[in-house]
Amino acid sequence: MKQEQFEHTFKADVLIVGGGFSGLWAAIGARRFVENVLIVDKGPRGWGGLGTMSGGDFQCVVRGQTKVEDALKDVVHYHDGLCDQEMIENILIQSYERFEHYERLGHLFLRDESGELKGIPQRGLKNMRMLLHRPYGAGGPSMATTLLKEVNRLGVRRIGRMCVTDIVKDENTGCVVGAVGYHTQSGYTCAFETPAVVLAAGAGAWKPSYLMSSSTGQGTYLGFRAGAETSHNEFVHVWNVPVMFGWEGQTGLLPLGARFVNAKGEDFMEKYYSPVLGSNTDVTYNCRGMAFEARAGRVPIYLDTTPMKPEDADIMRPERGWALNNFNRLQSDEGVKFFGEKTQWMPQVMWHSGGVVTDLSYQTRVEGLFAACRTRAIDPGVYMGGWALCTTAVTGYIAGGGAGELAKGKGRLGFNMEGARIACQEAMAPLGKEGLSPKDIMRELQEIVYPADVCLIKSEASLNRALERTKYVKQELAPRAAVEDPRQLAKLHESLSMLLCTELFVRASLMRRESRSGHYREDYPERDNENWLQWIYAAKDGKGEISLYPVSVPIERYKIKPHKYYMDNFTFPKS
Amino acid sequence: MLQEIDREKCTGCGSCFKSCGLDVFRLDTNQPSVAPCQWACPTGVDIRGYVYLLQQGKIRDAAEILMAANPLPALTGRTCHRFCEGKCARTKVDDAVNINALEQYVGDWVLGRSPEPSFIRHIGKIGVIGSGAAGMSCAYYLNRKGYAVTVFESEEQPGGLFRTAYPELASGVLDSQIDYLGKLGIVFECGVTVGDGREVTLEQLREKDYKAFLLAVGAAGDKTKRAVPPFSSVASITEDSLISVSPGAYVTSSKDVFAAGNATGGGNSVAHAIAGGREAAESIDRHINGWHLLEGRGDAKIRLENPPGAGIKSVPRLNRSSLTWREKGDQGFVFEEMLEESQRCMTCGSKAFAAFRDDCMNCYTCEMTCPEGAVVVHPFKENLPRTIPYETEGVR
Ligand SMILES: Cc1cc2nc3c(=O)[nH]c(=O)nc-3n(C[C@H](O)[C@H](O)[C@H](O)COP(=O)(O)OP(=O)(O)OC[C@H]3O[C@@H](n4cnc5c(N)ncnc54)[C@H](O)[C@@H]3O)c2cc1C
Ligand code: SF4
Repeated sequence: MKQEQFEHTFKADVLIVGGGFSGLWAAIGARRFVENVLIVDKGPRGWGGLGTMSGGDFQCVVRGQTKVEDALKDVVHYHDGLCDQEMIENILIQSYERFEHYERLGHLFLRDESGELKGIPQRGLKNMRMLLHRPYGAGGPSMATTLLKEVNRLGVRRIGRMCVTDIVKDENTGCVVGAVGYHTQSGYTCAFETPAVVLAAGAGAWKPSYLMSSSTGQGTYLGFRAGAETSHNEFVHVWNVPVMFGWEGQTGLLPLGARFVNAKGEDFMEKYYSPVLGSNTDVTYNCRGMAFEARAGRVPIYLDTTPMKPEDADIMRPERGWALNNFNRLQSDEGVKFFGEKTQWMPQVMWHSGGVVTDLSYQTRVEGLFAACRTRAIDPGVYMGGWALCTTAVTGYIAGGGAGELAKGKGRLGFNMEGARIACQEAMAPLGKEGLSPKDIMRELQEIVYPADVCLIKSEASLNRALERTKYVKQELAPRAAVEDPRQLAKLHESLSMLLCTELFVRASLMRRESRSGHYREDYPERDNENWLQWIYAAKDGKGEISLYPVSVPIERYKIKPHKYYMDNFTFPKS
Repeated sequence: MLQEIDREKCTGCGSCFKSCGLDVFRLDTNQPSVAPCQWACPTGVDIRGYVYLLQQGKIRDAAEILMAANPLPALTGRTCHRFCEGKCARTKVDDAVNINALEQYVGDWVLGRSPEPSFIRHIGKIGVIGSGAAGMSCAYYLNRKGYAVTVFESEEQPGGLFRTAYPELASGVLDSQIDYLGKLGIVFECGVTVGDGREVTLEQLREKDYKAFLLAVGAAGDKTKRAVPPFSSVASITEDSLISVSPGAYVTSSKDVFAAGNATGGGNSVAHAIAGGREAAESIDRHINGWHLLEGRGDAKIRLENPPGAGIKSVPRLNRSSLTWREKGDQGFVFEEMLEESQRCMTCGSKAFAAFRDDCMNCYTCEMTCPEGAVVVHPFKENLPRTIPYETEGVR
């Protein structure tokens, strides 16, 4: 009909939004069922998303080493009971299949002298182990090359610099019939006709200027607008990072002797954690400790690497990839040696744990819409090393397979050109106008979420303040944002998804009147299983606004009845 | 944050521009030294300039640059001898960029859209005799300059050698091309022979307000088969039965009569004929406006000395129709293939710059992919709001 509205139209059996590791794995999964699989990414065509910069550490329940049930117990414990056991069990089982798959494709993991896989236990959890790739820094790039080679072999189509802005559904059936978006450098509008879409757009985040600025919650945004539910809204992942520069390896540095110390030089976490865990604790809790130290005036916080043995420091010295360039330049230009000295550190909000709710085939409640990895909410604000890469592979593969199977059964559906046209018009509306800069909107949102009393030690008062300001951004500022060119339009769309994640996070944080896992309410510091062994879901109401509602964790159906809680390892000051 | 790009070291390969996840870089392709492809191209198309725009999906802008030198990319994209590809610097890495297929893509894109007719600003008309490459090229540029152009063709259908020598074009794209030129406002009169003692003479046309002529009647490659062109009343004809023109200006012995293409013997390729037609159009415009025919034309270009190549990762050349899912029939690239193949171009001799530095996320990708060590990233992050606000003392 009005086809000429779109500069480019594409037909695919499965459309994958995001060409990170989740998207690449989804394509591999989808190709088992259908031929025409298309990946689009707002970044470059071949970059592989954040995984390319990652360490390549991979959580895996190694067959013959660990029992899935034991690992599941660990996760339920780690998540303080707020754990989708069926989904996690599935991930744990299939982690080994994807590990084997990686090795089959040529990416090999580290083994010891006897040929046994080297699994490093995480966060003091005996059965949650991550596999490594060496040399240090080469893991992510090697995985990326491996996956890209495989999708090329499979004839998967890939287009870069393409931003998807809306999912298109059939008016009568409500099923997915496609998507719309635009090419971010040319501004040409695009329509995608497809019966199945996999959202693999990464997590929500607030552009931390730390190798994660591409994650802004566009998966949540696309899913939410299409009518899917979201969950884990009240959780964010807070990571600890050097104040001035980027550094990865915290998970290895602490067990090898490095210590966080306060301004007085005290290993302050000793006050907060149980001796059982020692320094091998979850990052979120370390960060909470830092925030309490700051409150008591004992800042700056440092990471002190002087207690490390020289041979252990050698293990953690970057050898490849961005980390090596970074390390060299720190030494040459800034005189930072990193090892054998103290460096100022701080907590940094890294990504939103919230995401789209799916069934076990990773389909949302919208037929034809799937979500993988961090676009699918999995964790309550705690995070073990290697977990992301494990879930990209497992959930990406399942979601892609589900989408492929569905597409194969359905064949091509009619497209909703009118719906597509309206969605596209709305998306392109801020282009070519004068208005507020998206970067300023994002800065506002960072100022809302970053303060410690919003992301680490929450309270009714601080969250209400954050909510007021979020409303102001939503009602007064965001509608005034506009841009000159399509590249900036992509930033504007990022700011809109960031805004949605901010609102979901603040409102759900207010709603959860207890503390659990990554969510800590100073005014409700205790766990409340009676009322809050529940997830907080969010979905669009009739007016397109956010409606939040609790959904019980079906403990009666689950194998593991929670009885011990990771949070109980810590004692924080009560006011 | 991205710190600097050393302009001296930068060879223009675009690795930073292509690999940055946050799309921080842009290239300046407008440089005094000419890339090897452009150097080799008889029409002198700014290939790195338009392919850089294609890399960004900007087809319309790319078409503008390409058609500033070659108005018939859909035809040359199928017939050209690819002088450019033979000299492409990428041959030292793996294979030449498939410039020809990119050109076809742009050409087909242009023909797929209905153009606005050109606004005719001039009163006098121009007669183009012959509708081959040189004739169409000249007609196009004169039409763009606002002249009413009529193309006379003795055959029943326009196209010249395009129609007779390339039967595969005759089926569709040639007609689309002519249709396109027609929509711009160019009139084709077929089955009409113009010349001394023919149905229509130049003299008659002069009386009908024709202010200038282009003779683009072609010629057989083999001299013995060549007919003497019927224009001895207006132009001098060489011993080889070619029309003699002054070099660079394409003017014959009559001030208002110009000639280009095979009829003048120049070059003997589609690309040469197109270049001749274009230059003749420039001369005709100058003639009508009473300007000097040669002044300020043919500015001396410098050839690029050290094109990129060393340290560039090999990427297989994409040939037409190489994607398995493609529906059979159309042999040209589709959008995504065009994007993919254009990315192989090393935009030789361009200069990279940080167009959106404040979006940098410190990933070092640009620094690691730059084969020349020209890009430097500084380890310090953007100064963002802090979770724990305290003043930092120094770096550590
Ligand atoms: C420095 C660093 C080190 C890490 N180390 C490890 C490690 O050792 N082990 C581990 O398990 N994890 C690690 N991680 C985390 C892990 O790498 C990521 O969580 C994981 O790779 C995410 O993959 P993804 O495909 O889900 O998302 P991403 O890689 O974020 O990919 C999402 C893609 O979607 C695209 N996109 C988003 N929105 C749109 C849209 N609207 N339209 C089109 N495209 C869109 C984005 O451009 C992006 O390419 C690390 C991360 C970093 C940054
Ligand atoms: S460091 Fe990364 S984000 Fe920054 S300019 Fe280079 S490639 Fe782009």
